[in-house]
Amino acid sequence: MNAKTSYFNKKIFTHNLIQVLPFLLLMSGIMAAITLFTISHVIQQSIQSSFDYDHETLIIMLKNTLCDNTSVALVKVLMACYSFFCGVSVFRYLFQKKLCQTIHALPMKRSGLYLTNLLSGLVMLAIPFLFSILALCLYLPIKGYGAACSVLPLWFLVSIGFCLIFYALSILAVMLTGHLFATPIVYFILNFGIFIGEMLLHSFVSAFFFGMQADYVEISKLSILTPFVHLWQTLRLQNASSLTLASYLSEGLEALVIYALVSLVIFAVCRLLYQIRKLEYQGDPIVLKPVQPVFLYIGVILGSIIIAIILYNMSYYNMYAAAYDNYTLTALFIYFMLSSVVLYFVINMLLKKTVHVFRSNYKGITVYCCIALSLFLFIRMDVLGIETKTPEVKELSSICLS
Amino acid sequence: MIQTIDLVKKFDDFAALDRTTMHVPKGCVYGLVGPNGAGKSTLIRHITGIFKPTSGEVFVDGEPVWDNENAKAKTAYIPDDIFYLGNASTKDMMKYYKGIYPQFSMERYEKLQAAFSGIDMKHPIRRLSKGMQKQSAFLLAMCISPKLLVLDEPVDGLDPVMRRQIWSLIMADVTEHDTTVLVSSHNLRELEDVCDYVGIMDHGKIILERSLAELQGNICKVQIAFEAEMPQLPNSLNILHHTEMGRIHTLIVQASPNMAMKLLSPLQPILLEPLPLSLEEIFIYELGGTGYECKDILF
Repeated sequence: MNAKTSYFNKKIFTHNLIQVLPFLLLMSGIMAAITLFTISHVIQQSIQSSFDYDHETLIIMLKNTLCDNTSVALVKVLMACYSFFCGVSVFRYLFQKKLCQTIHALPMKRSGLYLTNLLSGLVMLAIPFLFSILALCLYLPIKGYGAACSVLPLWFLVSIGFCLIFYALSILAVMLTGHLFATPIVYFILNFGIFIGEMLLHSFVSAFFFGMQADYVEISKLSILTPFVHLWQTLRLQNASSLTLASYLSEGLEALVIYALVSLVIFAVCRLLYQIRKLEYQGDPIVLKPVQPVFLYIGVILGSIIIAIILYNMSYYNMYAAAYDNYTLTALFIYFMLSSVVLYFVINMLLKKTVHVFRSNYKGITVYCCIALSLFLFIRMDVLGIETKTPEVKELSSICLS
Repeated sequence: MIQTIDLVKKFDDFAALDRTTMHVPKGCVYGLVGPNGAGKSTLIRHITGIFKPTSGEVFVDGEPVWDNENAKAKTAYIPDDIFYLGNASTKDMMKYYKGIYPQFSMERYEKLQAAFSGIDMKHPIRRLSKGMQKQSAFLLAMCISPKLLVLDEPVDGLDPVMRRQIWSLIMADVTEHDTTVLVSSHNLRELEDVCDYVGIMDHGKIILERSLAELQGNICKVQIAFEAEMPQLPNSLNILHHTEMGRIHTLIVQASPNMAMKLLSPLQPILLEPLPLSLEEIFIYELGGTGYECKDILF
């Protein structure tokens, strides 16, 4: 008796789409409304403007507006959130015990289930943009600007390319978690963890060398590991007059291609994670046990830094003088250590879903405290001579005299 | 039809299955019984391909089950707590299963609708009563034309008429299509009427696996009474349990009724009567040695 399904099942595919049909229609309506509003606004402005734009110029303006739409903040956030929704909705059965067991008792290989759900999520991702294209293909010719439709395939590719990395991260978050509440948290960490972590560590560590100050932290080259931040900077219209792929995207094209390739790698990794996923851990925040300590320590370190900075500012920052009064950096370290101890046990409680974590985890926090203390002493003694180092002129970005 | 070889399943440090070895012959009705926490549901989830074993193997019709769509296509599983997709009706689920199971039979679906005439095929299953949900589950399971039917507390919640109807449908399927049935239930009285084989499970192991006839032939209950004190009983008679009420002694012995009569007759009792031993009593006495002691509640 050979099963009907191998690597794809049409029934499950269509079922996934039908289940979210109301939300798909809503999202399609929103995307179409945003693009139609933006385009009609440009047309309206050009009519009311004192400049007498010729038809060709208006076509180029409309093309630019369409493509530049992708760089609008609201649209980017909407697309990142929608990509997350698509990833979670196709694999939501992994968060419900009975549904999870029902689905896995079906005559399908896990690889087939994974691929079918992945493809249905990609189609979900594309539908709002296709709906917008349809709306524009009807609207623009009516208004006499049908030639602007030639940019729509480019717009579609860029939009899907933008969403692809977020969709991949969404599926990675699903594969790492077993509880629906943990998934958005992990998704946020995957998207912004490195960027926020770099900023916090930079501020915290430099406080010990140069004192606490509210300086602007430049976005470093590590931002490529934070797709949202990197695409925010790079995905924008470069050359308004000539709309070729290269002129439009510039750095953004390179980033999109890299992220698309990374997305494929993430899909392959998720396929493996799904294959080894143990269903008995459904309901646990993190299902992949070896990864639990990573989230634990990231949460402890970054959370402690945030709490320590807040407490330190509450203790020593003088708002009227806009400066720190009688401060001591040892206090910053003490706040950090206290926060670490509390967060260590709290996060353990969340990860293990029990309050009985003290006895079994005291070794971990002891080692953590010893390492943190060693690093603190290492920095305070300025073993590497950073505090007394005089930088080269070319290394300077700004000088502040106070 | 089903074979598990040294199956181990660990949840962190706890071994839910401890080298479980089970053999279910083809075309039989196999009753899987055991106390709460024995590992029955965990074992069933391995047989249906939901869980991956820590070690050991599970075969259905000679094929390993894990991630094998061909092996799973032969199995219909009805859990104790039935779940359906969203707001699906029986008809919706029929269409869903039709698109997934290769042997789904529309002809059978139409025929069985008459047997389950009380079910509204267009009404959402989750809004039906528990009994109706079970009936819907059976209807869909049988339409899959399974070679293996795995049932976890199958008739719990059904009225007596429907219970009888379900069992006759299952037995008819076994006879006509050589379907193998694995039933897990605490209702031993009902299992006794339908099972050919019984497996008793405890602490993650199958401690006893035998045909019901053999099981009932190897252990019996005897009531015996003497005029005076009870004499020394023969050493060759393995007595599992002994209670007395006045002069009447009730013995549970590990022997056939004929052998027990043969060994006890020379003691010239005033009363010697073999009594039938139910599956429930066999279950209780077999587990008595492993700490599951409820023997005395029977008397």
